[in-house]
Amino acid sequence: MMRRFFALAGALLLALSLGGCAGGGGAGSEDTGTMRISAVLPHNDYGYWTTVAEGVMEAGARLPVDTKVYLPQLNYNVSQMTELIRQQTAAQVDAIIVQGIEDETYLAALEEARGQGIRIVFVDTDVPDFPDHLYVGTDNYQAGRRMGEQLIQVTAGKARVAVLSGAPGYPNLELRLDGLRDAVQDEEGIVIVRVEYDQYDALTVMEKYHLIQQEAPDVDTLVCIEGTGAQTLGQLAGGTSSFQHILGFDDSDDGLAGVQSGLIDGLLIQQNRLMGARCVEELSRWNETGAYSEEQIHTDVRWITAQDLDEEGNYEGR
Amino acid sequence: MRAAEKNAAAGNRFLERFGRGSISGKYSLGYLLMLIIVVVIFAVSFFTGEALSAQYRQAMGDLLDLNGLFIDVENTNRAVYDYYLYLRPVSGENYRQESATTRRALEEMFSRLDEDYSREVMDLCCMIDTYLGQSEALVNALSDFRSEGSAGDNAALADAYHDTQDTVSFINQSFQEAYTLKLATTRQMQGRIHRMQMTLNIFQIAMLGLALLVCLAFYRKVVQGMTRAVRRLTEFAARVTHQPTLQEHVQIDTGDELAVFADAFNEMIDTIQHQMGQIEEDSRVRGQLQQAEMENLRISAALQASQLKLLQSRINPHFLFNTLNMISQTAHMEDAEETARLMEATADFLRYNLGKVTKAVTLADEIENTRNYVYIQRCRFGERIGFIFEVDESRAGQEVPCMILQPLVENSVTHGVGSMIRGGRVTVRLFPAGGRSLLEVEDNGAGIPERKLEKLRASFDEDGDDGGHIGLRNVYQRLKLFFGEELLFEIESAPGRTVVRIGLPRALDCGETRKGEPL
Repeated sequence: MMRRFFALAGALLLALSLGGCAGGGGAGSEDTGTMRISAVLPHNDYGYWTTVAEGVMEAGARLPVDTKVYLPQLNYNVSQMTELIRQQTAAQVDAIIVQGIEDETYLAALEEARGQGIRIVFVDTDVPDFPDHLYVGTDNYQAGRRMGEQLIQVTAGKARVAVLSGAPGYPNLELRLDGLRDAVQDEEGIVIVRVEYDQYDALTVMEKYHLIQQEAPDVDTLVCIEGTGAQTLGQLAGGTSSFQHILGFDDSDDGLAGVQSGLIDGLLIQQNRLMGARCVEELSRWNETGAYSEEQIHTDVRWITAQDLDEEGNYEGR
Repeated sequence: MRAAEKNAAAGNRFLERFGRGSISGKYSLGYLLMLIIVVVIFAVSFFTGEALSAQYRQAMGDLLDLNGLFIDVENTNRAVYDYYLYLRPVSGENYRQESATTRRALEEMFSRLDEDYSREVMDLCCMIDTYLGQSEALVNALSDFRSEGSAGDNAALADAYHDTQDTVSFINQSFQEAYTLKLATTRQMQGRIHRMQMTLNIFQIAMLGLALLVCLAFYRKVVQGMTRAVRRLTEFAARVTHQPTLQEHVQIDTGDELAVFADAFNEMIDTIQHQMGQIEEDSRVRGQLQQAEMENLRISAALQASQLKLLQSRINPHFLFNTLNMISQTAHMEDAEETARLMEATADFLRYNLGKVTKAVTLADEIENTRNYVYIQRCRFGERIGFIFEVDESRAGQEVPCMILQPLVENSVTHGVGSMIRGGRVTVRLFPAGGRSLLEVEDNGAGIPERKLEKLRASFDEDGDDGGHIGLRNVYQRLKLFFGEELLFEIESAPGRTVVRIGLPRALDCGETRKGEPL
């Protein structure tokens, strides 16, 4: 009995001592040799880029790397993103994940980082001319062609089309537009009347939406080749539009709501979460083996219509 | 559930064993348990407090170190600024010193990151490392520029300076972020420390509760048990004090020295009661002896009183005896035979009285002595009183106290027939009856009145004068003493007939028993 008492007291003492010592370590059990990856993403949109960031962080938690996401205070502010890249360069991180943007200063900052041995990974949008980099994302030209094919199918090959893109000079959007044009060029009934840029914000989307209606009343089909368009139009009041067909891009709650209401014919959805995760996975692979699995990692796209949605507006695999 | 029962059973066994040891063992165990609890409370409080303090010190130390590193960077950058702006050699020297200090602090911070990694602090440290590299290159370039005294590439120097300031700006932002996070971590740690302090408090309360339980168990099993045992012992001792013959034992089952004490107490009670029984028995025997002695004394006193009375009545028996012998011899010489015979009878009577009064004699002796008395009385009373002896000689050897028959005859003469002018008769009978020897003295006197007779009978066992029958009572008491309860002593009286009847228990031959016993 005495032995048991002493054992109990000892165990209690030990447990309390351990409990007292526990919790002091905080987050830092890793050593300083952990690969530090910084993702400088353009947009805190609670949609596409947020999902990419989640993919980055989830893979970071799963793999022996340390990931952190940086966002500009203003969406798609290239100057702020450039500063963030320079900051990460000064912080001597091991890799930077960024969207490919054809901006001289932006690319110079990335070049400087690369010059200091930092791995550069482009996500969503590639800059093919940038040396020694990895691209993870949709094959935007093929995505554009897929959108064209869906356009032909939805309009039965007869439509006057207005295209709503993000901003001029973005290679991914240009590739999508090229793919779209190439897909419908043989369809005589389909005419791309005009191309507008929404600057990745809802106000501009609505402004362009009404502008098209006013200036080109014969346009009956609106094709959004970036996410902000469908996300904004999906929440139109009344769920009706003067356009006979609207085709959208990317996954968003409002876009899916538009599909479910019938306002939007369908969405071409990228695997943005997978994009973020694959970036980190490939960097981790490089850290261990010194090489990526491929120079370009293309993720698939998926055409989602109302038939693919359940009662809550979700599709399988979302 | 079974484990709980086993634990409860083990606890009971422990308490049982705890309650059955020696007093010193119980107290030692109780104090040991309390000591252990106190030590555990102290040790846990001490070590946990130390651990909490260490954590808090570390958290605060990290904050202070981070702040110190940032101040070092600012001092270094101030020197860079000064040197870039004014190219003063002292500024360059200041930069060397400050950058060296910053580098040392940075290396220390890097080494700490090996143990306690933080992404934010790591980024900050790497930025500072970048800054130190940039600033060193700038200061070197400025030094070259200054030493060469040429215009050089001012634009390149300006770009380099701006790069360092951009990095300082990044450091500033990163420091704010890292410091904020550290502060948040420290606050979380404060919360954790607070929770741990609460846990420690609960533990201390639990241990105090355990100590209370130990105290209660100690009180119930030891103090209360001992108190009960002592109280029972005290109460029992008080009962024994008031009632020494109490036939009880005190039961103490504490298993300690008190139980041993109770056993010893019980044994002592047994011994005392045994001794008291013996004392009572001795006292009873002694009382009986004293009573017998008192009886002897009383009888002796009565006998002495009788002798005294006899002496007083006869003035001086020895003188009279000698005188009577001398008269008897004279009477023989003068041929006065009757007188000589009277003198001899008187002398024999007196000799018997003087010589054997304290000794056992035979009935034959008594009868012979009574005959002498009768002879004398005949001389006195002549033919007025007749004396008849009807004696069975087979009973004459019966041993009796001296002087039992003559007083009876004298009593008959004195109170019965002495006053008769004629026809008085006193009959002495000795005969067997029912295994006894009956000795009767009968007279035909006036008799004893009924009330006087009852009073006389009642006075036999009392001391003092009964109004004239001292001789009768004296005889009765000595016979009673001699034969005990087996004696038969009766007085029958009616007008014209009074009988004193003595039933002797059994015929004892002379010398068989009681010979020489004091009467």
